[in-house]
Amino acid sequence: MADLRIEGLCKGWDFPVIDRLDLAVEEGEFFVVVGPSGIGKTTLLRLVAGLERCDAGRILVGGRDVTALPPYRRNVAMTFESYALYPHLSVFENIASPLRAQKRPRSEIETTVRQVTDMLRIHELLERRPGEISGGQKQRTALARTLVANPEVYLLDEPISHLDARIRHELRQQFHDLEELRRVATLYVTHDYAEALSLGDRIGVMGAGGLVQIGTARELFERPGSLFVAQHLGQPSINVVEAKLRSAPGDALTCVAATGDGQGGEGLAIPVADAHRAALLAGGIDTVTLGIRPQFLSVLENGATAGAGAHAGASGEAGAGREGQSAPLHGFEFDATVELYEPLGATGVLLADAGGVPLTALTAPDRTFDYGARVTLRLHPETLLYFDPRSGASLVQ
Amino acid sequence: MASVSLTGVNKIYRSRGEAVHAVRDLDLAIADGEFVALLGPSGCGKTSTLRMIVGLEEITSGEIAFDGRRVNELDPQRRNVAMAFETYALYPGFTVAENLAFPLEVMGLPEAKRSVRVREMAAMLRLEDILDQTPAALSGGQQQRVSLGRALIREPAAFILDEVMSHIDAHLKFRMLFDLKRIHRDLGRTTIYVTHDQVEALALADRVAVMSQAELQQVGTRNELYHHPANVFVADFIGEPPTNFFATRLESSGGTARLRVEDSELVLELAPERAARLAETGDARFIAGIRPQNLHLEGGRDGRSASVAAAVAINEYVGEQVILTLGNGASVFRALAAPETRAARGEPVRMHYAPRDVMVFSESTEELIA
Repeated sequence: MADLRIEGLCKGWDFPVIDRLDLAVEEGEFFVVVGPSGIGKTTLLRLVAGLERCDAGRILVGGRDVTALPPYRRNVAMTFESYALYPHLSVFENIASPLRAQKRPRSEIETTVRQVTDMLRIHELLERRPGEISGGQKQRTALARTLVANPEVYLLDEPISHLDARIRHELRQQFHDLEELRRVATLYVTHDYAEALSLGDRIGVMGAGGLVQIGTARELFERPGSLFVAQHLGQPSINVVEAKLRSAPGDALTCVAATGDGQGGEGLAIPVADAHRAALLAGGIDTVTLGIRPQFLSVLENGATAGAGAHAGASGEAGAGREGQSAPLHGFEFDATVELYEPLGATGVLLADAGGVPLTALTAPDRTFDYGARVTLRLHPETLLYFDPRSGASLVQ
Repeated sequence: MASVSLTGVNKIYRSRGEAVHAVRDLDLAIADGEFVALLGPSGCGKTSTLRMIVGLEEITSGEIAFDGRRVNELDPQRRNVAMAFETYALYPGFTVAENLAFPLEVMGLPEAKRSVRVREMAAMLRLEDILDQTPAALSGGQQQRVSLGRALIREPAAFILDEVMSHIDAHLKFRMLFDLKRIHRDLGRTTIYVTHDQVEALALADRVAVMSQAELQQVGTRNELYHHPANVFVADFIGEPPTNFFATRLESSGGTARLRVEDSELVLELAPERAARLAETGDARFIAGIRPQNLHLEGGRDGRSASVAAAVAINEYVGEQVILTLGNGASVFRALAAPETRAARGEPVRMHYAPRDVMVFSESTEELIA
């Protein structure tokens, strides 16, 4: 059993895919790397696996420098997005292949494969070929093959993103339950933020060149260090509004949102929460990029709460109290015009225009809003996120 | 624009002497100007259906008609159907404006009219600023919009979109969905949208046709699919996390009926009229289904008069919400909770639900009973 350490890892020179990346995954830790497609997540796994050569930096498994070692001597096991099963071998033989390579006795191979396939519920498929099983079953076969290898580090590349919802949720549950994974260091890559938040003990958000923020699910979602992180976690994605800071009577501070492109309208003035005022004033800037999570925008209709965030079916004041957490019950209210409303089953998504500022709100399902209707939106200023318009860095922590 | 109707359509492929039924007895009527999504897992027959409508695939039996006129024998060009694909297939040497104008040029439209139409389309798709660029300089989302624009500009009889969103990053997807929806609202074109992604289908379409194993399972609005799924497959496929299913036995005592879940201590209460429907079937065993978002940690409102006890197995925080995986005996099921829910593994909880949210399916046919 061992930890995984990556020090100053580089791949590529002029436009490096990975630029001086440092990461330590502890023994027993499930670390998830999340980021947009094409950003270099798979490259990172392939470098650790030894399938690609790094241009600088070191990779250590259990304190042992493996940077110069070939893949088979690193004691890491990787599953591929494309499964990479041997088409001519049965499910059993596919899973047994790493054990055969390690020249384990036949009886031990038999027992190990039975155990892992029972656990992953593919024990009835052992005689089939990969061409005769479904995508979810192939994925579990590939996972079983990785698990029996008994490595010191697991590397998992988008193992469940392409599967149907049911099997995806079942495999997510298995990742939570598998003791094997909780005893070693696991590096797991996905583009699906919900999967990342669900599975990661810690999560690293990957941007150009490397990891832009590392933290627990709640840290990343509730306190993103940058606009990039905020935009990549959440669906529908966070509302991004350019705004000016303006002093209001007393020592109050207001942020005035500029109108959207060519939409006209009078703009939108939102009060700044007491908790954020000092940090924004200290920054000495007058323009900010506001981030408003769609689930923190409640939709009121005829004075009653119509939206209650992602918590499906919830309506009424309980929803509003939950959103604000420590916030006062009555938030800031303003009018908007409905552009589009989509009930999506578990939630509804409302697109509205508030004085020329386009906003997306998440609502309870089974509401109806007509195109052009006037609604009142409510938000608690404490839930707003503020970013530097130039660097994108968070201004309030 | 045209209505599209499929009547008794079959597609049988022959492969190494074996017949593979890809589409079986499909009946589907799409009204003029309607937006219909064909939704299903890979291999369900949706792409074969689409290819038969377009004319890229021969129809083994049955009839496809546009505005009541049979098109089975017409080749793709004469059907006047425009299609946009998963991959953008733009001409790399042409600018955005030239790509948009190309179908009009093929139609022989004069230059002046072409440029008017290109400008209209560019305005609608927010492409005005990039008309002079070539595809290589564009982002994926921009390329996808150009590809849509090129398909739309012809004013075809029907507009067909095949998995056009699959390569768009999640955070841009909603924007694109709303764009498409707005374009459909403005143009009112008959649109058939093929996807495996239920969120796309539910967001866009007036009606969704759900397919599985070569057969149409149900056609309906999102409320119909969601609240009255025709069978276990539809209830399972629509909604995320997926519906919780239980094998149950009907139990009647003292004028009330309930479903006792096998392999656990769970008992599901039934709305009275539903219980009566079950009794009429004469069956003893049923499949019960309840959606994760209809199981709540808080009771006492919205008709949540019943509850079940369970222990928390997994608490998954996914940002906007928490997904609880719960256990009772051998029953494992999921519920959605507010994001600040901190219930730990092993913690006992009581989940409240409204009896009207329990769906009941026949054990033998898997069809919805009540």
